[in-house]
Formats: sequence, structure tokens, C-alpha cells
Amino acid sequence: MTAYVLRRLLHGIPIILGVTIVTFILFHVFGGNPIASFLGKNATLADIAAMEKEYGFDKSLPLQYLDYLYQIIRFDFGRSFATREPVVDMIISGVGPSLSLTLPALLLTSLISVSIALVSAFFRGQLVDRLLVFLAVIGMSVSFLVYIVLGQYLLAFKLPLFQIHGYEAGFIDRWQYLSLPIIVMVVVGTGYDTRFYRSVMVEETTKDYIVTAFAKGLSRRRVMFVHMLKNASLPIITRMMISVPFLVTGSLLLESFFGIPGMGNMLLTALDQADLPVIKAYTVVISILFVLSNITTDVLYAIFDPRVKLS
Amino acid sequence: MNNLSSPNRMPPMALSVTDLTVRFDSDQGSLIAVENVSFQLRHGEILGVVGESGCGKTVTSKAILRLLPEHFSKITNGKIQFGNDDLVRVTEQRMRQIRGAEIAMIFQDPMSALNPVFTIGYQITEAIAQHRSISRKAQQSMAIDMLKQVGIPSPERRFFDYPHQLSGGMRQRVMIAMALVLNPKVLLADEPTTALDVTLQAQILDLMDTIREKHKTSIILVTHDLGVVAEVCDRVVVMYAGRVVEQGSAVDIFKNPRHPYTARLMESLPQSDRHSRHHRLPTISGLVPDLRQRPAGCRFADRCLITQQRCVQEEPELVSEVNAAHETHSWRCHYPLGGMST
Repeated sequence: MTAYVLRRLLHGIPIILGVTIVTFILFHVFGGNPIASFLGKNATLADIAAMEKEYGFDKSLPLQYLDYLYQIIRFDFGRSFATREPVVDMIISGVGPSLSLTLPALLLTSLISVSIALVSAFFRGQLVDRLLVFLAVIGMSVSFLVYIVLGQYLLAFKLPLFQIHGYEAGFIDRWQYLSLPIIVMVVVGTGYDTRFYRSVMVEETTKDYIVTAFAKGLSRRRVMFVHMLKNASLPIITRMMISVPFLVTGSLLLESFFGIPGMGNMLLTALDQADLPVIKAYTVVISILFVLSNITTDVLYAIFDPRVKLS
Repeated sequence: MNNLSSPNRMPPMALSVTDLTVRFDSDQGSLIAVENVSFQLRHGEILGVVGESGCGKTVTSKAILRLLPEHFSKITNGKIQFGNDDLVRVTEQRMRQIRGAEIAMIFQDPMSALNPVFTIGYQITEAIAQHRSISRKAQQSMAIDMLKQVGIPSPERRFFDYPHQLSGGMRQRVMIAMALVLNPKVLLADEPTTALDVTLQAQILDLMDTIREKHKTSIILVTHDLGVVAEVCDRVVVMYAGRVVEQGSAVDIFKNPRHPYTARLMESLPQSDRHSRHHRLPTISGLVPDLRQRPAGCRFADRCLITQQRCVQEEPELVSEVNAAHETHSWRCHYPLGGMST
């Protein structure tokens, strides 16, 4: 197991290198002069040259790329063009709010959708099942924006249960701002996930081992919750693990609509201002997270499915 | 319920199916998969149910334990007498007491029929725990003992194996152990040897024969393989397109088939003495009719070599004859082979 994880981590290095090369080429070779685009049309040549020197962009491209790699190894992504703050500090301060939003949302969404899907699969074909599928389709069909606007109007403005916009860092205080975006995320995600999990479970219930389990005299509850669910857990884990990198990167839409200073908001601002160091750091962080979550997924497979051997 | 020491007080049959009719409903319409099927399983016998794919053998055996998918199938008529219970009408609660403990079932493909994510020990003890309140230790030793009986080497170790760690033959032995661990009166074996190679088939059939001898289990053996039937069955039910077309002792069926379908099935059985390598094996051309459009007459009419006008117009009734050994032999044909038609 340890050897497997180590080897997979080593395999991850070329993947991350590939991502850095593509990112670097996109921004430095095809993207024009990054400093000039940041400073805008009113900048003088002297301003551009000064800043190029400051950020090491006056060096040759291969040297700049090596600088970039060296930054990644030290986990120091230089300073932001816009705020002049170290990018690492910006990331660290953004991760907290993002995780506070996305982690509870993912856990709640998964818990709720797996439960609804179980009920739906349990009563497959009956009225309860049809009703739940109908609600799930409605849930996923309505736009995110409708939920945001309606939520802000009805739950935060008319019935002042939550704050409309903003954020406070306090561990207790943050929830009055985060509750509404979490609810919106859960409502939208539950629609999608319920349908996915239900179809996974219904597919499992057509397998032969289900008939064997019934033939032993087991109750429907035991067949579904023990035999079916353990087999359905692999697709469920996969679905959840796919979302893990996005937990850290936050939600672009929700963070900007609700004014939450998370990673998503940070990326939007950086893109808007052509803040290259932030964009490059963000890209690398995402690719590292993807590699890590893929390894974790495979390890979880081995734990849940005895047929999977890590070698 | 039954006093085993006085066989006279036992009900005459281990299982008695009368006029069983099963309907399947789908978006494309409904069909009668099994129609007025009647047969009886005697104590301690192996009854073969044979026929091509789609003739209703598996539906019949699953219907006995009410294991058909309930949202699109329904037993619309008939009676399945088991002891004092009519399995068509007993409550689901009573049915669950019967499943696994009094009537057990084994399936065609042991790889897919065993749950891949639980150890075989878990799956066997789970069946015990469902029906007996005994300690985990006792469950475990029962399971290991049963694994030993079905010929699993070092069962104490195998107990902790997952299905994928066993060979095909071992898996089917595990299925059999799981089915028999509570010593059921009736075993439904649905194509138990089809997924296995020939040497393993023989071993599994031997095992079933031994079990029948030792535990007096009555066995319904569903198969499309007449070779299997010839090897172990006492009596045979031949099904075609959801109907019983011929029924009788294995000797009568093999030596004196009356229904043309049975006869043609026999011919398509490879036999070393009859067919040299240069002869093509005879086959029955055509397909089992689509049950959504049932023919008015005999269901075998369009594939039969001796079809007459009457066969297409009128479905034959079941005709019975009692042979010298007091065995009933019945068939559903207007122009039966062999003896004189009635």
C-alpha cells in the first residue's frame, strides 16, 4: 500500500510538470507580454521594464520557466501583480472560506442524495419513487442563478434569516453568511446526485446476487442496505472524490454572488486583473489536488472492493 | 411440522405446482411467460425441468420462491402447495421464513450470484443467522462443516475468501453449501452446471446426487441440457413456450418420448454411438414463438415436422397414460409419437 502510494505520487510529478509547461506556454508565449497586459494601455515603457525586472520577466523564457518550477518546489508563488502580497498568503486566506462553503455543502449533498436515492430505489416504480425523481429533475433543471436570487430575496431579505452578502472570519460568525450559499449548493447538487445515485442503485438491484440474497430469506431492507449499498459504494465514492479538488478551489459563482473571500473569488479577481502569478499558482494547486484525490480514490477502492488490489 | 419417523403422515408431495400462470408486463405490452403449469415434486427425487431458453423454466422456479421482479411480473393464477402453505398466497413474512430455510435455490452463474464484496463465510453465516438464533461461533462451525461436505478443501481458510478468489467449480460448491446449510426440504437448482466445464459439471451433479441421498432433499433441476437430465433425474418435465408439453419418468421420456418436441430435443443430444464425427448434429430449426402473440393451436406447430391442420387451429390438451411401473406419462400433442393417439 505505502509503496503503491509512493509510486503513484512519483507518477504524479510528470503530470504536474505537463500542466506547468502548458500553463507557462499559454501565458508567456501565446499570451503576449503579461506585464503589459496587467499594467494596461496607460503604462509607459519604463513602467513595464521596471516591473519586468522586479518579477524576473526580463530573463530568457527557459530561465523564467525554471524560476516558476523553483517557486512551485518551495511552494512560494511569488507576489501578486495587483496586491503585491505573497500569492501563498492569498491562497491560505482564501482556502478557509472556500472550504467552509464547499465542504459542508458536499457532505450534506452526498448524505441527502444517497438517502433519497436509497428511498427511491427501495420503492422503485412506486409513487414515492416517481415523485422523488420528478423533484430531482426539477431541482437540477432550475438555474443556479434563480436559487441565488430567490434565496437572497426570500430567505435573506423578506425573512431575514441570513445575511445577503459578505463574510466574517470568526468561526461562529461566518455561518450567517455561508448558510444561504450552502443551501443553494445543496439544492442544486442534490438534484443531479440523486438521479445519478438512484440509477447506480437500480442498476445494482438487477444483479444476480440480489436474487441470491432474497432467496436466503433476507428482508428487503437488509438486501438493499447491506448487499446493494456496499456494491453501489464504489460509484458513490468516485462521484464524491471527483468533487474533492473543487472543494479547495471554491465556487466561482457562489463566492462572487455572496461576497465570500474564497479561492473562487480570488481567481475571478485575478483573471479580471490579468494577475498572472495568482493564475499560475491556482493552476498548479488544482493539478496537485487532482493527482492527490485520484490516488485517494484508488486507495478507497481497494478498501471497499476486495477485488481491487493495489499493485 | 412433519414427523420424519413416520413417512405416512408426510404430505404426499414435497412440492405441488398446479396451474401456475405468470404474466409479465412491460411497456411493449404484457405476455404470459408461464401458463397453467402443473407438476409435482416427490420426496427425495430429482425432477428435471427441461426446455430451450425462454420456455419458462427459470420463471417457474423463481415463481416458486416468489423471486420474480415484483414491479413487472405477477403470478395471476395457480397454486404452489408446500406442506400446509400455498406459496402463491402466503404472506411475505411466511415466505421469508421458507426462503433459504425450507426451500433453497442455486443459480446458473455462481460468480454473479455471489455478492463480490462479502466473504463467502459472511454470506453463508448470514443465511444461518436469518433463520436460527445461534451464536456466531455456532454459525461459523455450521458453515465450515457445510463447506467441508460440499468438498471445499481447507474450509477454515476458505471461509474468509471472497468469491473472486475461488475457481468456478468452487464457487458453485459454495452456492450449494449456502443453499443447503439449513437443510432445506426442497432445492431449486436453476442451470447449476451450465456455466461450468464438463468435468466440473459431473462433479457438481454427483454432489447433488449425494446430497439427495444423504439429506433426503427433493431437488428441482432446471436445465436445457438433456445429458444432465439423463444422468441424475428421476422424472422429467419438458416445457415449451410457457407450457408443459410432456411429463413422465426419465425412462419414459428418454425411451418413449411422445411429444415431437421432446423427441427432437433427444435427437439434438450428442451421442457417441449414434453420430459419427462426419454427421451434423440435428437441430430444431426456428425459434420459440414470441409469447406476446401466442398461436391459437399447438405452440410447437410452426417448428414441428408432422404438423397437421388441427395442430394450428386447436391447442392440444394434456393426455396421460399410466405405465406398467404405475408411473404417469403425459403429453400435450394431437398426434403423439409412439403409441396410438387418443
